Amino acid sequence: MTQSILSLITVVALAGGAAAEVAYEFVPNFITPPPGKETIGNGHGEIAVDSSGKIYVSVQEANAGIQVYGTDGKFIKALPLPQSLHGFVVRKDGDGEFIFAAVLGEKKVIKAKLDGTVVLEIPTSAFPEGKAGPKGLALTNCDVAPNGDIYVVDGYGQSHIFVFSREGKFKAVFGGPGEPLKLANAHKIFIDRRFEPARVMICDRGHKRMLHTDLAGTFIGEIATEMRNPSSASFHGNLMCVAEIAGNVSVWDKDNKRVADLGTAPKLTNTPKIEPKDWQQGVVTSPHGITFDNDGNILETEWNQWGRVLRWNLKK
Amino acid sequence: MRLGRSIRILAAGGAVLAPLCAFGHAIEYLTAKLTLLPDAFVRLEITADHASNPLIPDEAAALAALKNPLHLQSGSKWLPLSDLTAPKIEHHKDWSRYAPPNLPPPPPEAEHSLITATWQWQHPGDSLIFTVPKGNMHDVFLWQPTQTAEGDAPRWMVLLAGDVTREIPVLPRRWPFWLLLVIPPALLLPWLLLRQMRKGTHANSRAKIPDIDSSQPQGNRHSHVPPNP
Repeated sequence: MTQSILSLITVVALAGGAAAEVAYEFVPNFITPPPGKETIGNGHGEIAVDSSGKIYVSVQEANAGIQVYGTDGKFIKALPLPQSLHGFVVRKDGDGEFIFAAVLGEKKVIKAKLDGTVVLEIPTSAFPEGKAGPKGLALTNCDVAPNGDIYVVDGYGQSHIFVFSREGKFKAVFGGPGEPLKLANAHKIFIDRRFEPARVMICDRGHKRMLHTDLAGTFIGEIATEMRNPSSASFHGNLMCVAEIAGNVSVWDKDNKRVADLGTAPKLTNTPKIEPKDWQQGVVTSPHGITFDNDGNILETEWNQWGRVLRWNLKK
Repeated sequence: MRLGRSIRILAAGGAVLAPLCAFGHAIEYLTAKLTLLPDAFVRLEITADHASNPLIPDEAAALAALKNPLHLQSGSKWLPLSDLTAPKIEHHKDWSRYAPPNLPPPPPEAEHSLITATWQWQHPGDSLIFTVPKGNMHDVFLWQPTQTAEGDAPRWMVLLAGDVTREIPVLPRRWPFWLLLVIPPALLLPWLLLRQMRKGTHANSRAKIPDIDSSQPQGNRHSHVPPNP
């Protein structure tokens, strides 16, 4: 009898564990590139989804820095934005929905409507002096806190994280290479709203780790270490998906447990010139940007000269 | 689930790399050019760029990154390169010398401040196995110049901290020159001795034939021959 009860408890426990697991299936050839193109174009950026489900992908094309796709993956239009939108997010702010982007080549941050109209610019001159390295600012991503503050990271520079007000006025700076965070190539940061209060999630790529701070920059804890160079992330429900540029996509729960790996490359990559003829369905090359859509499916874009987007659907 | 952080990585890639500093994208690893020389000599040239690598802000950091970038397997231990020999350090801006030839040239606006550390040694074993020490934040792009057909893409691999290469065979050792002088005579000598001994034995044997007949008196050796009629 006792054994039966124990067995029952075990089965229930296992079932509970299984319920916490997630599974995805790869969707081949999801994206239909712009007319006349076989691929979407030189990719070194990000991917995001708006509240209506439209997909935004940045490519390195002059005055056409973001391409917009429908929920079916078909090209709709290109937005007249700069060509070096290395990192961006689509966020609701006030009464609208906007693109917040770090323009790597121009060392500035922009806020734009979803049609590409720029409504705010945070220029290089708005950043405090003495924080940029000898090579100047190299802004790689930004995100927006619940109070409207804009967080920007100098990811290819000194890995400082700058905080600006909703109006673009400098407020604070933390992070950087020194104590206590000791960041190195903090490639992208995100506001992790799975937690209350929200946290800053930092892809500390140089140290192959992800970590949390509070919104003031106080260290909370490491999420994971010894990763394949975490480069970008996105949140949905209690989950976080991560693009690891050396060849993996991972999914994590709120307890920092890895719950899925997708598209793992058999050989470490982190190189941008894997030609389309060498692409393998469902296998990543150099994941650089990632997002959940509104249904929890995962879209990933790669550092690739031809441009590549992969999709995995959540198995329900 | 460390996902391949401990797996061995095969370096059979033939892919062509884009400019590592293409439009704002930084060079995020050290490049390590491995040249296998005759007679089991190995040359390893590891280059750090303190103009483009976000992990290397200045010259001092570049030199620090080159102190212990790779370990070499030696028996059951991992040997820091610095334990092999002191490297030759060179400051330069010639990116093409230390990047695979199939890398397109960097964009004209790209600036490089390169420091290359060169180790050269005669390897005692048949093959090399490298690893990036755990905790090292500098990934290593290890590549070998093409040594097969012309136009072949060079072999390359990206190594993260803790990753281990496959076995890379070194070129066979040449026999030392003095050995070439010594070995032929050394091989010939026993043969000559043997030959001499055989000769001697044969001669002795022949010399002993009369001894067989030594029952016959020496002076009568031809005594059996009937006298001419």
